[in-house]
Amino acid sequence: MQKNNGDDRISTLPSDILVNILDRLDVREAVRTSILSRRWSQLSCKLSRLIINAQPDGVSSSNISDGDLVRINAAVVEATKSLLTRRYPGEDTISLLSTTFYLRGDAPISIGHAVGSAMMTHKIEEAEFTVLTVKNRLYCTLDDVLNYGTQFVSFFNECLNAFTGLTRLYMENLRFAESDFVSNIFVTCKRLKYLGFLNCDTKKHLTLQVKHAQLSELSMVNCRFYKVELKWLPRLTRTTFTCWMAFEELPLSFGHVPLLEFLNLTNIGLSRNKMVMLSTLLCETHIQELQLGFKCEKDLGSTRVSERKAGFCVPQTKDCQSS
Amino acid sequence: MATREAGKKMIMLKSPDGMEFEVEEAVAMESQTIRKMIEDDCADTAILIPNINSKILSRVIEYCNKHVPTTGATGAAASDTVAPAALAEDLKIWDAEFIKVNRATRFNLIQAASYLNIKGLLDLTSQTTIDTISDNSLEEIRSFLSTKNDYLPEEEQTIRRENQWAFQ
Repeated sequence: MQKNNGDDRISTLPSDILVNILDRLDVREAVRTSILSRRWSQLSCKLSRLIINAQPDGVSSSNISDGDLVRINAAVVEATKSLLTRRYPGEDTISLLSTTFYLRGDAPISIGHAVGSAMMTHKIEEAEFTVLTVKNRLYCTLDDVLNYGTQFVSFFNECLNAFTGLTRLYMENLRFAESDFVSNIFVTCKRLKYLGFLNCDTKKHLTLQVKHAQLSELSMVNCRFYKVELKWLPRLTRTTFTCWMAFEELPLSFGHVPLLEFLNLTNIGLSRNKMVMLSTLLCETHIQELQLGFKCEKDLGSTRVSERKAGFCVPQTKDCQSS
Repeated sequence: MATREAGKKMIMLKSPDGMEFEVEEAVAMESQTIRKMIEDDCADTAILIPNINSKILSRVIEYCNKHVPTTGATGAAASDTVAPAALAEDLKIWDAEFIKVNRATRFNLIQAASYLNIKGLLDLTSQTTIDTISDNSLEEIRSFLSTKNDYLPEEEQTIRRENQWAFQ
């Protein structure tokens, strides 16, 4: 380096430093530098953070035309394939491979296959799928969620390799015809650290008994699973469980969750909902931060539902007196 | 030069061109590389920093001196009187001045920050390059980064085709 003190060309920097700089850019911008020179082309094959999301910033799916959706999905497929096939197998670790796409057409399966085979040939530390549906939650009909559910199940079954290696999975607006499919997700996706459901349920009532060795965060928002029993989750630290309005009682219970620190419970209180006895519910846990949200039944008709959030700390204690 | 204060452990850093810098241990430990050496007991009275000349090393120490979290009696008093937001604003202005250097020095600082593993300094020194790549056309990037296009025309076409999604 001393020899190069007067040299102001960026190429004098070692490759790992240049890759570190490229990793801070949007992956598209980073890949564009491959056109600069042969060396830069090799650098862009070593990127370690591959975040592939073709959706333009600040646009929600409700105002994207169907043609645009098809283009967005096609771009994600092409980017995923191109980024993964240009790498030298086994050489550089991928610290994060994250793809966001719509559940529409063949795109999910193409992405799933590309990611699944990359998991065999490359070392991938974190792998994420964010699976969006064409329609926004508020516009989904019963037929839509059933249809999306069926599409998701065939995507899942077709791409088991990819799902087995995922560390983060988000899905929305799905109704599963077969009740045991949800358990299937927990069994197949062994490496998951985060699992998020928005507006998901099963056709028939289901008691979901969750056991997972790795999961550290579970989020169920607007889901209507009949009952969720967190049986054995030794690494779970955060849980969000909101809007169980369809049921009289809180359909959530805790088993072995020794590391659970944060719990968010938010619901629209209907007159038929029974009171949640926090002292009984949390008796066996070590929750340090509890967020409670209450929405009022009266405001349900209006678009702006008033929400009051209460956040307070429960002292770390095993006896029930504190709550 | 750092002065020896009671209760503050000092560390000697040596550059390959023979200069020695006496710094507080806490300042030196802004570098994760040096921190590891100290924690693993690999650090003797002086630590030789290979590949980083005295001019660059002195600037790195200047950065660490400014960025070391203030602790202890005097430090606590300082943070009581100055709001954290004002402190952060002051650091930002200081950083902006600090990084007004020529390109060769900046690249040397990037390399030093990477070797010594000082995240804040690496973020600061890399930012100009990041801004250049994300805000400019390829020709501007090429000229700014002084990279020579060594592709044959047909090779360039292939690269463009293989990465077509990124150029759309």
